[in-house]
Amino acid sequence: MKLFKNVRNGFIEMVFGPRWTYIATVRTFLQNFLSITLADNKWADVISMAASELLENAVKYASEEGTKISVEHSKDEAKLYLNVENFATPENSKVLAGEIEKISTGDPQEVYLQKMQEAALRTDGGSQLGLARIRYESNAAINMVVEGDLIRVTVIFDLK
Amino acid sequence: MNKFGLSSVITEKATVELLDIPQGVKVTFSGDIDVQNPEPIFVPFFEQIHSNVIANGVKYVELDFSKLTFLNSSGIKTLIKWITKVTPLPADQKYNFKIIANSQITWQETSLKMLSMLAPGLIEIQIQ
Repeated sequence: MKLFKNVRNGFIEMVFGPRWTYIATVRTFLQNFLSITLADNKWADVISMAASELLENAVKYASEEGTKISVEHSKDEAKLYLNVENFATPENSKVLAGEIEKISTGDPQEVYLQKMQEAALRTDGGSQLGLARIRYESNAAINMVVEGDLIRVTVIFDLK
Repeated sequence: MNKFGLSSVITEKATVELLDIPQGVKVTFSGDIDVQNPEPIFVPFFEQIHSNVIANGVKYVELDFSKLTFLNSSGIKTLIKWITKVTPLPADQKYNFKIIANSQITWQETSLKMLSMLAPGLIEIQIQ
């Protein structure tokens, strides 16, 4: 993790092993951090929920130890960037890219409802609801970058 | 205890309890539901309630989330599985849900409203 100078935006970065039990702690910490950083507590709740969903995916599907989460609040743009990075197999990266593409096209509510109907029929223990839920509850943009076996999912919340 | 004799489901961070009410039965949720795989914990409980509700001709099930502070998407899926069991039932077996949501808990209004869209006409939502 790099330490840098001249930080203009509210910023936090955490690295932890992909252990399910840490997720609630990170969620609670972020909720508290964002309550201070943002004027609106509702955004703190929504963003910490989104972080929790992304971290659950990271822990479930990571191929190696290590998960990084960072949050940057750009006051000038009135945007908040939530990034989660983890290692993944090429197969899981491809599945995730397909999911992001699917949920990013179409009306967030309709996409979420469709994913809920699909979830009712799933028997594999997964829900595949997290990303659609994030988009529906926040109207945020979700994108993903792959660098080798490292993937970074970014959720961009428009706080205006 | 309740008329179906079902015990509450208690996890490290959440409690789900079935109670008798004059109109039917009420399920109260409290704490955080954020376990990795909630299906083996909650789905059998919901299925038992569903079977007993049909067998006893109960027509009203209240789902009170007002003390549930967090519900992950895997937890939402367990509720979806329950609700979507009711929609295909014949008319004489169908029952209605009323969802109680807490306006002070941000996710509840949005997430629980979506549950009501899974079974139009069968689910009423009350935000308090």
